[in-house]
Amino acid sequence: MISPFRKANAIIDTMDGFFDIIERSGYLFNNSIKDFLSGNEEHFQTGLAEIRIAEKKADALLKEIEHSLYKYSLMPELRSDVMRMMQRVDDIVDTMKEVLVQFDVERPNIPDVLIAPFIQLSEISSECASRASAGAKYFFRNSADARPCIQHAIELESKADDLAEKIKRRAFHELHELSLPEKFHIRYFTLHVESVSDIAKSVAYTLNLMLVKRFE
Amino acid sequence: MYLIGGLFLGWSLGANDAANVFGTAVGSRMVRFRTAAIMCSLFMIFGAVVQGSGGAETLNSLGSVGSLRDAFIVTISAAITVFGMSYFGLPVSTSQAVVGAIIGWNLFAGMPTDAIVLKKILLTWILCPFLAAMFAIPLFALMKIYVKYTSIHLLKQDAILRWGLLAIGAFGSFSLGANNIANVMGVFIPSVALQDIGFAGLTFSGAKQLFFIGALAIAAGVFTFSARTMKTVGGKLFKLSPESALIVVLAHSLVLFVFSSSWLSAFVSGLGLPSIPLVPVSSSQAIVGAIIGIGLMRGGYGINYKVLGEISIGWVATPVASALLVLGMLSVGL
Repeated sequence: MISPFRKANAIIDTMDGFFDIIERSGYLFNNSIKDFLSGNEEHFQTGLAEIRIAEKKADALLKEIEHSLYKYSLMPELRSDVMRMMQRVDDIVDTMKEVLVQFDVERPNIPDVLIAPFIQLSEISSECASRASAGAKYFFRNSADARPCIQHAIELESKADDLAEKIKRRAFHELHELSLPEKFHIRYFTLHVESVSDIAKSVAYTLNLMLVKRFE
Repeated sequence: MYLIGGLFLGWSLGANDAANVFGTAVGSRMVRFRTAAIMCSLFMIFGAVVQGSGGAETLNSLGSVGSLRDAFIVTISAAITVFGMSYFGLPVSTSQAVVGAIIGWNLFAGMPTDAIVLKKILLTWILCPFLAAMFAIPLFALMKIYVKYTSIHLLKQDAILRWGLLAIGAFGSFSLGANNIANVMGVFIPSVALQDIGFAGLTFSGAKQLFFIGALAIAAGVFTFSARTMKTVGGKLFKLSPESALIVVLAHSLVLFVFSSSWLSAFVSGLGLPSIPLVPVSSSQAIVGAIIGIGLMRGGYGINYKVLGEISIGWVATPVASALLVLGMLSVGL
């Protein structure tokens, strides 16, 4: 028997696949940064290769979702907002890949005292991305579950901000043995890692607005 | 030949009022125009033939237009009034135009207008938008709860909503056909004597055959001219979400059903309550009433209270214009 939800189910599966990729990318991102900072080059390269594949796959799935929403005229009132939000979610994995590529190309020299804060920053950023992505996934199913994820993502972004500032202050005010270009390089990479949480926060804000528009 | 007046009225009803039922669904691209037009036509015909007699009896008890020529003048006057007032952007209702035209004919022919029936009709017109609002308020509250607390994926909700718009559109079309066919063909019943026809074990009286012909004219209006009005209604008149639109159409359909169902009227009488008058009411005013109901649920912001004023002016202006037109046409010997 043909299900009335046949088309919907197919697109829901694609959407879930997309969100799973974002979730997995956060894990890859965090582990790859840890691998880089601990000098585990082989694992870092494997992580980078995997995130490149994930980024391409996410792009393809996003295109498929967009095509289906417009081809079958699904959720006509919501779809432009939905696509804008999903594109922001896709930006998260794009940024994660870009950051790892920068690590690979520029090979920043992170002093030992900053390795732990750097790892913590990457953990907070990837967790922030994961919460925003979970919020987006829940938006489609249950608004009550989406709200705590959004709130958590916003809080984590603020934590990432504070930690990034501490790292930069330490680099510029305490580590006198570093040259100015090295300090700039550290600042530059701090901003890179932190940028993941910035994009996650913009996803959270977009979601929040969509929840207000739909449920209030 | 004389039926042309009624057929024209039917065509204009199909062209304009089908948009009240399927406008938002088509305008928001939830339902294709072709699907909407087929559903709307079939269920309007069904409603007109099965349940159209109650409203026609009420109209004929207001004034029994004796000849075919007079019935033509009554319907063509109502049609011209509807067309003219719509052209100048004034709120207008086919039901009100037809009632005005019948009263105009009564005045010219020196026939008495049944005051009790007239009072019943006027009361129903006033009740129509209020009742639509009363239906819309709890339905909208339930819909809000459903939207907020359901954990069904939005894409599945979208699919359910499409089926809902089609199902409620079908009910709305049935109710519109049942309630408004009296405007189109009611005045011809006393003057057109058609033999009963037996088909598939069922007997179709002359009145039902007239309703069928009138409903075909409504269907022609739906197919030829309602596409534009549906898209306009969907995009301009009410900026509602498809969920709210579903409630608006359901509330509107319930009102039209209440004022056309002889079964419901008999059931209510059986409970010892006053019977429900079976009167053709304005589909557009039922829609406006339902929208206002939803507006009130949202705290009353953005309600255009001017529309309410315009509706009440329409209650007077439309029948008066229509009655004067009939008097004018009959006086010059048309």
